[in-house]
Parts: sequence; structure tokens; C-alpha cells
Amino acid sequence: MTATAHGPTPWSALLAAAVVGTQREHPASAPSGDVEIDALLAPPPDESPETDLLRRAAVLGLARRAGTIPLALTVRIDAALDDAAPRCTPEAANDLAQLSAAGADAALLPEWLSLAAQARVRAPEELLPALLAAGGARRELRPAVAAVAGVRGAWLGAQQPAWSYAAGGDDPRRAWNEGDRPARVLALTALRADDSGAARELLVAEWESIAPADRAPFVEVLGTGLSSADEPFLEAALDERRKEVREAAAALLARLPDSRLATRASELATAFVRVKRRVIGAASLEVELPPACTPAMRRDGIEEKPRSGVGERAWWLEQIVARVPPRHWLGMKLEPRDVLALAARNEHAQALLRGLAQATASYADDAWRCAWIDDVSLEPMWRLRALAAGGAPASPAYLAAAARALDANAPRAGEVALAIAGPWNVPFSSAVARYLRAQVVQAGGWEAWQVRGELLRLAGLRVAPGAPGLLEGWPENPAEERVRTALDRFFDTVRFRAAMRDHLKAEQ
Amino acid sequence: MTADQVLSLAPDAASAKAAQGLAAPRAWVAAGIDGALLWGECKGSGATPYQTRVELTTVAYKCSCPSRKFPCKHVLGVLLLHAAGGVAQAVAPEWASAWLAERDAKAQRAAETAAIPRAPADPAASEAAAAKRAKAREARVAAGIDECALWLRDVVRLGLAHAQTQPSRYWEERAARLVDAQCAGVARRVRALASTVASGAGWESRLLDSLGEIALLCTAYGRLDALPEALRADVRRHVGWTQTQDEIVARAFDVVDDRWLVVGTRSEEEERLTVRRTWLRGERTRRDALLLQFAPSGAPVPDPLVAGARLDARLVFVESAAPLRAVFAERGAFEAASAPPDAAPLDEALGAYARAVGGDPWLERFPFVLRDVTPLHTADGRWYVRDARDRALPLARTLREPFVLHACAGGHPVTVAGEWDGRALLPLGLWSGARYTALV
Repeated sequence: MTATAHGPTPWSALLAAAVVGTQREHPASAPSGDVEIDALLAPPPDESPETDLLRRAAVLGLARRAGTIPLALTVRIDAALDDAAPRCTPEAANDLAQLSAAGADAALLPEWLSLAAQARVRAPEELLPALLAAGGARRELRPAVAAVAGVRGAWLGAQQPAWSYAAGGDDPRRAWNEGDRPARVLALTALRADDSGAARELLVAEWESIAPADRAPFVEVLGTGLSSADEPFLEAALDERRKEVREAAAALLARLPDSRLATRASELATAFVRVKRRVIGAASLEVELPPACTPAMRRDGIEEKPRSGVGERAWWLEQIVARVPPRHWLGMKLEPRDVLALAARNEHAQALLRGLAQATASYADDAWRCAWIDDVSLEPMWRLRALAAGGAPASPAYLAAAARALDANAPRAGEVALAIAGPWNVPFSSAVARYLRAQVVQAGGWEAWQVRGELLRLAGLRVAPGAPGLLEGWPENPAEERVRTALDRFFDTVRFRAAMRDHLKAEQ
Repeated sequence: MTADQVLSLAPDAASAKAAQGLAAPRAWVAAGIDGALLWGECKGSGATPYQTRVELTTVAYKCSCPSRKFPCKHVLGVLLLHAAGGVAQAVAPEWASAWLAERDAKAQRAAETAAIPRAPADPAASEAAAAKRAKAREARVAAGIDECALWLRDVVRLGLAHAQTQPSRYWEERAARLVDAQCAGVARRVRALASTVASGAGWESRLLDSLGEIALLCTAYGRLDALPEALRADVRRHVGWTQTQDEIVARAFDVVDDRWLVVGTRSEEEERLTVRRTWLRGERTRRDALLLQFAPSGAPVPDPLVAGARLDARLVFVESAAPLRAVFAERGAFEAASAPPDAAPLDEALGAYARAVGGDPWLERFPFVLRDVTPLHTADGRWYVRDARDRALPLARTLREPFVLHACAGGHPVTVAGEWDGRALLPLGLWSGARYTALV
């Protein structure tokens, strides 16, 4: 009973009167077209206009509801096609439901997605909206989300702009061509992850059209998938006018051991630092401080003005050493640990060790990282700088060195472990568990707990959940509430991840 | 119980997640099932394992862990383990069987206490006092209803446009007066008007509709004696009289034995209370039934009924001209259902609704189980379900995530269960093939 071209319906006439009120307008009586309803609408004598209106509202309202006629709706929709990939098990679906719910701890979702992709299963339909929303909010998850969302996910993505990435609408080439600066940076990063060479060529082709003030972030993008193929472009960028562009290029070149920048730094280092080997007795380092900061050094990103408290010549030396691939120092039967020991004994130990720490981190040199872990006599802050998380996953040798440090309860061993991104292999997982089992209830104040608590939290996310004995032998009923809570969460997380693996086992 | 159904009992997402980690045998020192008693010992980080026990028929549980969440992750975990077939038959240890025995004994004592007729000091005086109280309440309600009718006339005299400009206090104060007059049902409807006036386009029509309903209820209460018995019961219930479970069972208005499929459930917060509505459909009788459960806000609803499962039960319906609300007189355990219930085409469902409101005009929600309907949305963002003949019903705006329904159907016809309020359908679940998905 909606209003039609034939005039007001009984309901709309009644409604019009009700809106202005019976004090202004008496409800007009319009026949309903139904004898029985009309009989109910006829007012008894002496009824007030208000009572009459309410009675008619009750009768007509009820008649409207009881007499609902479905709408004719002819809008065309295309049904989704079938997906050949099987749906994941109900247990895996339940895991995903917990991980993709709004407000859920987001750390484990990437792991679920990658396990599902390995198992070649797709997410169940009812979880697609939450999953697609998670991908909408976290760009880095999008390719993985789109993959496990499958055909149905693409079908939904075509209907909801925020999810269009699942329907192939997130083409980074388009964003690269049409987006604003932040969008172009993101698009180039995505392209870089996909095909680093093609992405660099896009950047090179557009380089001149990018305003100099905007160029630095685009240089930084090359940090994703960095390789020696990027070297010529980066070397050229050292001659850019803007300082921040040059610095970005120099920082990346100092991660490429074969770069011309690394070669130049090595040549300088050879001039100022020499290994002296006596016939009898230990070797030593002969160090001469650079006399000046030349334009060539400045071009390679070496800063002229030192930090306060540091002499300028020592500062230049530190920066040169930081740019030298650490393998440069080897040879003459010297291992990384020997070089570190020599540097520590030298009168310019501070500059040398700082530089070596930076070089170890920049070039992500595994043999050197192991040496930094093993030599516990070194200043812990420099050790941590050397071990700062690099882009490459930690090698088994490095993990073994870190495990040794944990087992020896070396200073800052917990922080070293914190800096190692997951997933951890079984031996290292066990070492972290051993370490925490022994340390977690030790006294040591708030600062120590911050490291242990954080390590416990991250260990839950990073350990290999199948490592034997991971959940055995923990201190019983630790007195402190925060320790109990953290342990409880560790148990929950490890068990959840183990279950998640069971639920997403790849078919044999 | 399926894993889905177990997880629907979780008090929060963290508990559900933790429970899933416990759904593997390695998390348990021991676990077993002994009749309807499920038990397990879970190694926590502490010295002694936590002892967890669940009585499967009514899903009663107890765990020795210090968690303040109910059910805790261990209860959920052992249920999940059981759902996955990971629990073998075993004789229950003493700590588990003792708990069950004590529960049974308590239930027995309660039943006996209830069975003993209370012998009042002076039966006649006590009866007279009860009658006096009842009479006083009748008088208070009658006065409250009269006052409400007068107020309704004021509202329409001044006009709906005027009513819309009133602060929410305007409705709340009226509702409070009705509560004082022990007319809780009317009070609830009046309180809801505050959100009706703020509900956007079409509010006038919805407001007038509700005002008409309340006025009709006031009028009907005024001539209660002239009404048929079942309708009289409806009017008293809608005004605010309640019955206890025992009273309903004792009244035995309409007793139905069947195998009932839980077609959907929904929890809503209402006045410091969580109200959980569960809709059942009888396999043999095709009767619909509504079970209501209550819990204080924030607390879990006890004895949760799991959507998509079925159980054998004897239901007793509350007296009504369109009986829907029911309580359990007896019930069996849940089992997994493998097929959707008998579903109706659109016009049949609408016809059933028309008959139901013909009996009880204040009926607020009616269960629809619609066959072969396709969820879809139009360019203006409105959602519908549509049948093969292009006839559609609008979906309620209170549906939190319509895309879940849409994703499950994928543009194909499915069976949808929901609540129809005369204007829009609130979907509660769907079957795509034999697969049930609850919509929350």
C-alpha cells in the first residue's frame, strides 16, 4: 500500500494527518478497498479523533504487514563460478576465523595464509569478507589473501571497491602510472618485489620527470630486492643535487659488496689500515687516520662533521670502515674473530669496531655476524648494531652462533635473539626455550624483564612449533603475575600454531 | 557437537583461539569420554594439570584452572578435541565422576524440594495475601495502561513531527512510568520508539505503526474479559506478565514431541540483559518454536543451543493465539544435522506470517526458512533475498555483515533462515547445499 498515481492510500493519508497532528488536521477517511478492513476502520460513535487515528493506525499497520507483497526485482546478477581448489578443513577455517576477526592479534595471519597456499586450499566462503577486509587494511597481505580467497574472493572483489585487489584491481602498474607520490612509492615497492629489474627500468625511465625533492623515497624503494644490477643507477645517483637522494643511494651501495663505492672504500681502507704480521708473535693493525675528508669521500656519503665527542679524523675512519665489505679484512690466516680482536686492542678501537659493526650489518655478512655474537668481550651496543636485523633470513650458522650465546647466557644474548626474524629453525627454537626456561623467573628488574617478556612473546610467534620439548620443564607456578600471563600466552600461541599446521597439512 | 558449535560457546576470540591450540591430543595428559561425561587433564605452565569436565547433554562444565572466562579455553579445547574424534572411551577418574555425581545429587535434591508442596503456616491467609497482591498489581497495571493510552492520544494530537523533536528523555520517562506500573512489555515498546524516531527515512511510517500497536494493546487490555482465552494470554504477556518455566510446563498448553533442528540463534543486549533467541523447527511436525534464554549483560548465556544441530525434545508452548514461544520439558543431546529443514517458498512463508499475526497481532518476529532464494544487493546498497520468480524481500539493516551471506551464496540460490518482522528479514543462517553457516 504505497502511494500510487491514483492518489493517497489509506495509510499515506493517515500518516499525513498523524505527522501534523490531529489538533491541526482530522485524518481523512480513505477506503482500503477491502470490505473487512473497512468495517474495522469505521469509527464507533463519539470517538475522539486521536483514538480514531490510533485505531486506524493499528488496523492498517497490521494489514500492511500481514499483506506484504514481495517486490519485483529484476536486477541481473552474475553468479560466481566454481573454484577447483578445495575448501580448507573446518578446523583450519576455525583457525582463520580467529585470526581474521576484527581486533584479532594480527601476527599469525600471514603464517596461516602461507600454510594454506602451500596446501593449495582456499578459505571458506563465510570468512571471505573478514579476510578481504584484513587485506584491505594491510597491503602487504594482499597477494596472499587474493590467492586463498580464490574464485569466490575475486567475485566479491569485483563488487566491493575496497576489495578490488582480490579481483585483480590492485594492478601496481596502474598505480605507478596514475597514482600520487605515496601511491607510486607503494606501487614501485610491489613491482620491485615481483620483478626487481623491470621495476628499476620503470624508475629509470621516469627519473627525470620526478621532482628532485621527491626522488629520495624512490631510491629507498630499491632496497627491496637490491642487487648488483641496481649499482649503475645508484652510482649515478651519487651525483644528484639533493643530499637526501645521495645519502639514500650511498646507503644502498654500501650493501653491495661489488659496488664501485665498496671498492673505493676498500682502497681507502688499505691506505689507512694495514695488518702487520710479525714473524714471531701476534699480528697487529697499523692505523693511520685519514688526513682530510676529500670530495670523493663526501660523494660516497661520508660526513665531514663528527658526532660530538668524536675526533673528526677518527670519525672519517669509522665511516670508511663501515663502507668496506668486511671480507676485505680476511686473508693472511685471519678469521673475523681475529680481526675483531686486533681492532679491540688498537688505539683506534672505537672507530674500527663501530665501523666493522656497521659494515657487518650493512653487508649482512654471516661469518662476521657469528664472530660478533661469539666474542662476548665486545661492547654490547656495538654487537647489537652489527646484528641488527638484516633483510636476509638468518642462516643456520648464524642461528647456531646465537644459540651458543644464549646457552652461555652471554651479555645481551636475549636482545640478539630478539633481533633475529622468524621463522626459527628447530635447534634455535630449542635454544631460546632453554634460555627462557632458565631466565624467565630470574630477578633482574624491569629492564631485564622487558627483554625476556618480549622474547617470550616473540618466541611464541617465531619458534618451530614442532621443536621437541618446547613446552616441557618450565618453571612451575612462577610467583609473578606478569610471568604467569606471558607464559600462558606463550603456551597458547605455540599450541595454536602447532594445531594450525596440523589443520593445513599439505596433501601428500 | 561440531567444532563450529563448540566455538560458538566461546566467551571471546582469545578463548576460542587458545582453545584451538588445545584441540590436539598432545596438549592433554589424559582425556576420555565416559557416557555423557567428557574429561581431560591439560598441562598448563603450572605444576599440576588442569582438570576439565563437561557433561555433554546439557553442556555443563567445570575446570580447575583459575580463568575467569566461562567456558574457559580448556573446556572449549576438550570439546573441540572430542568434536574432532580425538577422545576415546575410558572410565572417568574419580575427580570427574565425583563432580557428575554431585551435580546429579543436587538436581535430585532440587527436584525433591520442588516436589514437596510448601505447607504455609496458614494456607488460607497465604492464599488471601497472594490474591491481594495480584489484585493490587491488576489495579496498578490498569492505571498504567490508562495513563499510557492518554499519552498516546497526546502524541498523535500534537503530531509525529512534534514527537520527533523531543529529547530521548520524553520516551524514557514514559517507559519508566510503565515499568513502575509493572507493564514491562509496554515499557519496552515505548522505549524502542526513541530509536524509531531517529531511524532515518521512513521513520514516520514506522513510528505510526508502533504507536498503533501499543494503542491496540492498551485497548485490548481494557476489554480483556471479552477476548478469547488464548488471545487474553497474549495480551497479558505483551503487557508484562511473565511465567516461569515450571508454570509453563505445568500449564501444558501445547506439548509437542519432535526432533528439532536449530535453524538460527541471535543474542541481543536489552536493558542490562543478554537475550538469546533460538529458533527451532520440528522435523516431523514442521512446527516452529522460539526459545528465550537470559543472562546478565556480559555474562555468557547458560546452556547454549547450537545453530545447525538438532535434538530430540519435548517442547511445551506458551499459551498464545499463535504459539511460538516454548520451553523444554525434556530434551536429548545435540547431534549434527546433515540436511536443511523443509523450507517454504516466499508466498507460503508470508502466508504463515499473516496467519500468525492474525492470531497474535503484537507478534514481533516470525521465523522464515526460505527455499531457493538468492541474496543480492542493488546499486543503492540495499540487500534482498530473491526467489526464482524475481520476487524479493528486503533484508534488515541490523544484519551486521550482509557480505557473509552473499559470499556463502555466491549469487546462487540457497536456503535462508531468518526472522521476519513484517517489514524486513534478518537472516540468521543459511544452507548452501547441506552446509550450514550461522550469520552473526
